[in-house]
Amino acid sequence: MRIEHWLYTLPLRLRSLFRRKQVEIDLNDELHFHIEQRIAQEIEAGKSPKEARSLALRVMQGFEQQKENCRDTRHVALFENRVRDLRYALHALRLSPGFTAAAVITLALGIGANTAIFSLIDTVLIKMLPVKAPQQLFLIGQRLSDHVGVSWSYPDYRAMRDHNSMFDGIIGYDAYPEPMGVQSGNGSEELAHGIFVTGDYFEVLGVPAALGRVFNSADDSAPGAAAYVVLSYTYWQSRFNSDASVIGHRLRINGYPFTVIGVGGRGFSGSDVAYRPELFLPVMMRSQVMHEPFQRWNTRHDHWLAVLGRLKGGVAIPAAEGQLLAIGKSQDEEEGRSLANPKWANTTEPIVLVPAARGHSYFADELKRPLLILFSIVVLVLAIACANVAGLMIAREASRRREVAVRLAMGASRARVLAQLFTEAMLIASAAGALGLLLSLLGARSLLRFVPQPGFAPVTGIDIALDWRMFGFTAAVCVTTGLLFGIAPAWLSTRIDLTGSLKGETARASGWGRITTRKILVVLQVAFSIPLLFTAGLLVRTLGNLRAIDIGMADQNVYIASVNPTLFGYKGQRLRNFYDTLCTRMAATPGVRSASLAEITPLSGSSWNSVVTVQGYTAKAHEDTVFFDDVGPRYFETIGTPILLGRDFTELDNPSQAIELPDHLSPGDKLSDGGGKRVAIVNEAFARHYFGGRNALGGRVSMASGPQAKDFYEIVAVVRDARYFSLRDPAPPMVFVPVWRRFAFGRHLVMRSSNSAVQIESALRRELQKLDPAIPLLGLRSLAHDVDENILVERMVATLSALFGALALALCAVGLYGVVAYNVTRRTREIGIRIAVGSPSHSVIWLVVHEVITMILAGTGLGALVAFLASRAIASVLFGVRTSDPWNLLSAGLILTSIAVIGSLFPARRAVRIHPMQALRYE
Amino acid sequence: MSKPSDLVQGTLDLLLLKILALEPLHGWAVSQRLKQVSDDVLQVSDGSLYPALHKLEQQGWIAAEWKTSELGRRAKFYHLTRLGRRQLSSEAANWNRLSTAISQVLGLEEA
Repeated sequence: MRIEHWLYTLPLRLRSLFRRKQVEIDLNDELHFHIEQRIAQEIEAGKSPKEARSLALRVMQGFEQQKENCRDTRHVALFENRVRDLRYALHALRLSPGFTAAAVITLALGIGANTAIFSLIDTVLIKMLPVKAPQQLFLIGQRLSDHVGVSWSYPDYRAMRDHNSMFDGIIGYDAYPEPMGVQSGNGSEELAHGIFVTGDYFEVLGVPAALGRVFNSADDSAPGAAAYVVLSYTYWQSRFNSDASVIGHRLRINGYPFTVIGVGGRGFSGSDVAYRPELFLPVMMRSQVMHEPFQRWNTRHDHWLAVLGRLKGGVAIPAAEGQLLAIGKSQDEEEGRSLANPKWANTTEPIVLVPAARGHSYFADELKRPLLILFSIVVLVLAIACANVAGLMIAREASRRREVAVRLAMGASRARVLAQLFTEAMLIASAAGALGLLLSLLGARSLLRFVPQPGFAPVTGIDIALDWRMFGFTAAVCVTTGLLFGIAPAWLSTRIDLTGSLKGETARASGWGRITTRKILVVLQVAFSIPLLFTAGLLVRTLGNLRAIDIGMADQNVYIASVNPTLFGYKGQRLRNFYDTLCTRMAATPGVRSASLAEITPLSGSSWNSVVTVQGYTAKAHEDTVFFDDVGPRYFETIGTPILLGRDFTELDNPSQAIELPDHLSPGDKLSDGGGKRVAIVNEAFARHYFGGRNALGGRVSMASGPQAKDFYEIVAVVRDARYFSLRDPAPPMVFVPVWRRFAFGRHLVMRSSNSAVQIESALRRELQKLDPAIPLLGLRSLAHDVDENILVERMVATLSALFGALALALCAVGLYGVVAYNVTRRTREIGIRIAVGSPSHSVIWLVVHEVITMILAGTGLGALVAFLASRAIASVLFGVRTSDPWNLLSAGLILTSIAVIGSLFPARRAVRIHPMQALRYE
Repeated sequence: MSKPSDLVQGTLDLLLLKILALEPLHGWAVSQRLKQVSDDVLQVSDGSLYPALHKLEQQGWIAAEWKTSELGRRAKFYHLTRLGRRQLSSEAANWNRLSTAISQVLGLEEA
């Protein structure tokens, strides 16, 4: 019924809209035909043609009136008026291209900035994972003393998966993925990002295969049994050109042959927004790829899995947490029974279910506040842009007052005139939105450079794509801005004094409201700019302070290479020889000053902490753990940290033979360290804390506590403190032990060289080729890069806030100039008279400038209030600056004032040059 | 000549639909036919005819076509649509029910 109705009426509606002229002609013809018939009938009845005609028209009860009544039945008037408004607005904007361009560009900058930041926020904080019912997904964590721990052992994962009744599935995946070497056919080895996933990973997430098949629980059955790999959709596209014959293809991953069995669903790239794996491998293949024996990672002591569960409908979160805790507790007990000392068993801490609908990412938490700060900044920029364009609209509207007055006088309703003005505003906003979207796409791409990129290749980072959400956001912003900057001019234009305007009186007559409104707009712009400049100042100084920190290391010419032969089966003495040879050869390379080895490098994000006992020191709670590192001889020289007291490590401080890591290690097992004299180096923080004012040299520390504390290391040197975790935090107490003192495992090669990164890389590749061509260079970065990465967020916020601050300042200056120039023009006559009666030029200049200063002062006062509120929100990201520092506010005000005064000098100069005669003739 | 108010509200639509159900007509012919078949009792004013026809058209009950009239002039001929036929039968049924009821009331013997 409904559809049939539209079948008849839709063509009519469309016809009335788009063939309006024809419809009008038809209507006219139809009524005329009737009138003529009536006239003919009346003449036939004996009336004179004149009488007949007047009767015919009379009984029609108004020819035009009936036409209008017929039109009313069309129900398209509302729409029709909009179309007419739009045409009219287009026409009007075309007539003033300068105004249109200025308004569109101003707004486009504001909208573009908003859309760019929004797209980042959307990707990092809002967007749901492209999986089935993402809101049912929870990351399973444990409440530890100061954070939620989210890594689990494989046995714990299996117990949770097999014994729970509250989840529709629990999956596990690699929490700390590392790049893998991939070789296809006879091609060369490339690096790719792979993660190990449990067999039900895809099924529980509800991600089907785009091609071939994904894993199933059969792939979990036995270690080493399922040498299958699933490619991510994007990797399949970029690496294999979307070739469907890739199924069945053989890939060597870290040297081990795998068969491609499928391609993951389109758009799916794991459950972490900032880490986008390219390869998915069954966890059961971990030993083959990572050369980690099954016994070593299948213990409750190796926590390497992130565990995600799909909660059943209707299950309360606390109930699920309780059940998982009970499962964990029974695991603890079972483990305790199998150990010589039950106390060595793990303890499961209270379970926390972390909502994972938006995916899980450490970066998301880290980026949240900076992104919200940036978002507030761009909202202010947009507000300034709106105020600016509103000012332009008012100036333009003033010159169109006569036109509006004519329309009102002709009987147009105020609503129609308002609608017309808003149409124009919306048109400008839409054009600005389109341009802004374009700008934001370019902008968002460059923003990505500031987003922390985990791992080696940038491809794994956050991805920003144009989608309907960005479109929707831009559209919403457009409408809002259109309304915002349309309101003031529209309101003013309907307050017109009809007679005055029609007589062509200039703005003088009713200009008071207009100039006041424009001034208010400028005051608002200043008020919005102050907090922007204020926060930009704080953030830029924060960055400067972080940059100026003495990190206790050389910030140039230090390079760190990642090479890991353990992935290719190297262990024990063979592994140690490999690293030692590589290190010696690199040290001998021309241009390389020194080279050394270290397990962990500063500011890399990794750390190793252990229990410590210092002989002669009674540790209070929380004092018995410090950070450790294994470093080779000349490490401190290489990294640029001075040895303050004592001597460096030598080769002789290592045991003569490398310690091999056994395949299976039970708690309480004591790993031999090769015996001999054990020496250690500590940093100043350690010496200060544990030795107070005494000399730390000769002091003795152990990596165990209580009765286990034996095998003491003798302190042979104290080194300067160097930043370790972050540039913000001073160095924690640290102990360094010789690089091969403990078991032989993967190490980093550290080099000090004035050679370029490219030269070092080619030298490294050359040496690796000679040593073992199968072993890839997993990464080469500079220490300066790690320093930069460490303050990435601060750099992003400071750079962007400075950029937006400058934009705000420019917009503000333009707005101010506009209103002052307009005002000088408006008061030409008055100024002319003043000059004629002998006013000196400085008083004329003052007349103009004092107006500006009043606006700046009013705006700054308002802005200072906003800035004060804003400063609380950003306090946590600041470093070395106080929000209460009056200098910041003062300099923001000064910058604005000087720009404003400079801007107002041009109109002032023009005012001074006004010739009295000319001014009086002006009107 | 009777004013449109003489027609009970809504009955004009019914009459127009019925007239057009017999054969396609232009506006003038509709007004003449109505007058003729009702023996001059029912008349629609020239003024209200066209808005009424246009309303029926917009509702999809009648459709129009430009054809050459009997006098050789181009005129807008209206005809009933399927939708209009359905509307006519339901409105006619309504009317019959109503007029029967009114007749019954009026037919009551006065005491």
